Amino acid sequence: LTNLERARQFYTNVLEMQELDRPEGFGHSGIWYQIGDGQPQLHILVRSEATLRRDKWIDLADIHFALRVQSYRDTAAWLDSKVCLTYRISTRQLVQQIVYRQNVGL
Amino acid sequence: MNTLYIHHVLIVVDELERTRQFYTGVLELEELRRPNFEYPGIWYKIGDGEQEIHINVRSDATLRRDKWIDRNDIHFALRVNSYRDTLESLRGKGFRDDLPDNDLQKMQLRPNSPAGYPQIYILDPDRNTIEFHCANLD
Repeated sequence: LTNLERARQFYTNVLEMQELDRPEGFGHSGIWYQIGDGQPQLHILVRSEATLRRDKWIDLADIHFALRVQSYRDTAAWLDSKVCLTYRISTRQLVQQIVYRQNVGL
Repeated sequence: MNTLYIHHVLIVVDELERTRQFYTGVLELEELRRPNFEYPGIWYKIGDGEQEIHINVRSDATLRRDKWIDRNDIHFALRVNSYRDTLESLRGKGFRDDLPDNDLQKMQLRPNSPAGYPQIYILDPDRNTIEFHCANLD
């Protein structure tokens, strides 16, 4: 992604993900997030020249990651309360919506 | 939000059979049944089955086509049991760390990564970057 504070605003404040300590020495700024209870983590790097989807919108068949949630209905309602305009077709598409919103800075 | 875990990552490739040859034949991942979608592809099971890699064949999507190993670009990481065993296994499949960067068999080793765990990076045939890492250097 291209802007750290906008990313933090989205993943920390909107999605309420938990930030992890991130070691120094990577050469680029970024944030690590805890996903669920176990090991899985999401690592975010600020780097404008890397592979970004900058000029693209929701595309369910393009690169993305999927978060397994407890309830489709609760997640849809929760996203509505957070960002409005949830794209409801399947859980996978909800996640795509999240990626999309992050890309456009909402 | 009650997020349980990362369920899958979806990556895109140019061509199906070469991808199957790599993930099924070289990495020995287990294929899953995949419903019919608009695009051809393959699903793979990771670990004990809670997590998956989804691959779509789609030349017009976000590919890293002209790029090589770049640890700071998009990739996914697979946790393995042993750095040493994984290194040996990859070497047995033709990956080497002394090749030039623009070689698909290039393997990049980071036994002392600032991440705090040892890492090995390789590319799939479409330049998707795969990281292997384990808790401690053995």
